[in-house]
Amino acid sequence: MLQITNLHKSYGGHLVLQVPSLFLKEGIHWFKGANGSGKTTFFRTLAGMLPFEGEIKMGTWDIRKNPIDYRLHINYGEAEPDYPEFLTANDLIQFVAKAKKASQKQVDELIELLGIEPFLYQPSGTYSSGMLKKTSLAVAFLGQPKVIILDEPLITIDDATVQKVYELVQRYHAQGVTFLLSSHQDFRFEALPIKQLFEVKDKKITELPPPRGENDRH
Amino acid sequence: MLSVLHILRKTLVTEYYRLNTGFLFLVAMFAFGILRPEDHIALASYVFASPFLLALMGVVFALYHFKTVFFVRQRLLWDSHSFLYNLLLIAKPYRWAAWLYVQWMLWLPVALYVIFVGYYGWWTGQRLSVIATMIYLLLVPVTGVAAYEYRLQRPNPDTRLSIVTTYLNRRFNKPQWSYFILYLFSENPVLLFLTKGFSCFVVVGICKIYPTDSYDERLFSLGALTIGMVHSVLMLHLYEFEHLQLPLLRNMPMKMGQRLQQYGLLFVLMMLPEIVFLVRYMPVGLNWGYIWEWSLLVIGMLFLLFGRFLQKHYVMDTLLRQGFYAFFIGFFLIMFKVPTLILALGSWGIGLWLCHRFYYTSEYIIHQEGLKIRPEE
Repeated sequence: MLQITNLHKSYGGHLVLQVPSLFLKEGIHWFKGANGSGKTTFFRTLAGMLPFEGEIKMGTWDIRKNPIDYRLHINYGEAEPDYPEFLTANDLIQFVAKAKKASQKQVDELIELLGIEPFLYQPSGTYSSGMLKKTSLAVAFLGQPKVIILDEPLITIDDATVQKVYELVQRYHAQGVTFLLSSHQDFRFEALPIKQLFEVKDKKITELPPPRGENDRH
Repeated sequence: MLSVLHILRKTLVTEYYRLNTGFLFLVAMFAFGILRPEDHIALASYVFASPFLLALMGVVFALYHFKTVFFVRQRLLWDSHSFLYNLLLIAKPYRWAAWLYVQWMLWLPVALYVIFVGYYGWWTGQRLSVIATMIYLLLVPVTGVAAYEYRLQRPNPDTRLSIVTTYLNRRFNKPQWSYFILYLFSENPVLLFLTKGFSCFVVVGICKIYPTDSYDERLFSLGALTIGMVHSVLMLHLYEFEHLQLPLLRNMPMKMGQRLQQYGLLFVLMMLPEIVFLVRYMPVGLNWGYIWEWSLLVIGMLFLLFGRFLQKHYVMDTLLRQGFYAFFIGFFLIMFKVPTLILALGSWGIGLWLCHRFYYTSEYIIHQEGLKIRPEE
């Protein structure tokens, strides 16, 4: 699904991540790592939001040679979203929905499922961190993505919304969507069948043995 | 008390001057680059002699005062500055004195200028006007103290929306090209007002000067160049705004043509006041063809400036140096009679190429200090 080759990511000449070769198959992948280990940088790079050296491909679409197709099929949910405070959740969702070619039906469903309706038309400057997170999650599921990257999807949201996120991930996964997740907490493995587990540490990404319970299932 | 002043100086005063280096530099460049010290003294004697001009000067200084007050009040809304609410634990007289200190430090550029011209005004006999100006100079910072104290006593401003705003939010989606304009109105209104006020003033001034001597169209091109330079700070804000507040734009599957179209609409909208003023005050002898060329030039310069930001991450110091070089290059091109249309097409061509070439490789560089591993990690 995602092929990463010779990826070098630096900030101002300071190397922060180096991935010689990594192939992510279809499925749900979990990236662990301490604060500042480079998870978010890796995710943002994959989402086409940061420049880098190397090659990233989704199937046959190269991030540089096919920027539109690539970006149409990869979505990203921020760990700690921070939007311009005058934009409402509706402004953001409608803007992304149009760009990602999402139907109004899908927009309405996500708004309802994630409980965004009560603050849909309020400027995001008035939102709590949970409301911002719900908005970013809705944005991440819009369109017909092949890959959805969710950076710390479970932080700042209440238990009921956590269940909704599990539901959404399961549903999209059943439709063949690949997920890249990062979390400090363990995912509930009965809810999410994690295919590969990675550790982001010392500027490298290393595959770890699958989480406990996974071997029992597969 | 000294430690409180030290914290306020570091968090508010130093930060204000750091972020406004470009603005203050541009003001200083136009104030002292164009006018000589003796011109300032002559100007001061005119101003002190005319109540109207004196009031006008008061309005200009008040605008600067609002800019500083707005900056501090915005900082007080930031989570990172919430510790400043601990100032409530300090006795009122000390707290007010601390705020007065902050406001005076921010007011310093105006105070020094007024003392400079006031000195000459006093010796030329305009003593009443000078005294009135000095009283104004002393009283205005007190309003800043009141504004900060008000914010401190009411830390969570009412964010309920009016019925009209709610209706508009429900009825309309904000188009992408409007995001930056809305950002300027909501977060940097004083910068927006000062920039547009200054550049419209330049347009009107040139329109008034043009018929008085044997000037040619180069005068307008020089005006366009000045307007472009003044807008470099706004373009820096656009660059920062997109990278820091809307990084998701780069994840959107939009063709480069669509992106450039959005920038084009934004830049036309941004330059509309100057174009309207030029049309409104268009002097005899200037033709409509030139108005089009001039409009293309000012919009093209925004593309050029924004493209340069995408090409290379600038800190304010580099921006100022580059701005100087660009201004002198533009100045010589205009003085050597390079046609405005060629300059406009050149700006558009290079600007569009830079945007196209560097859009996806552009990156907002975090300060090196921010990359160091913190001890707890």
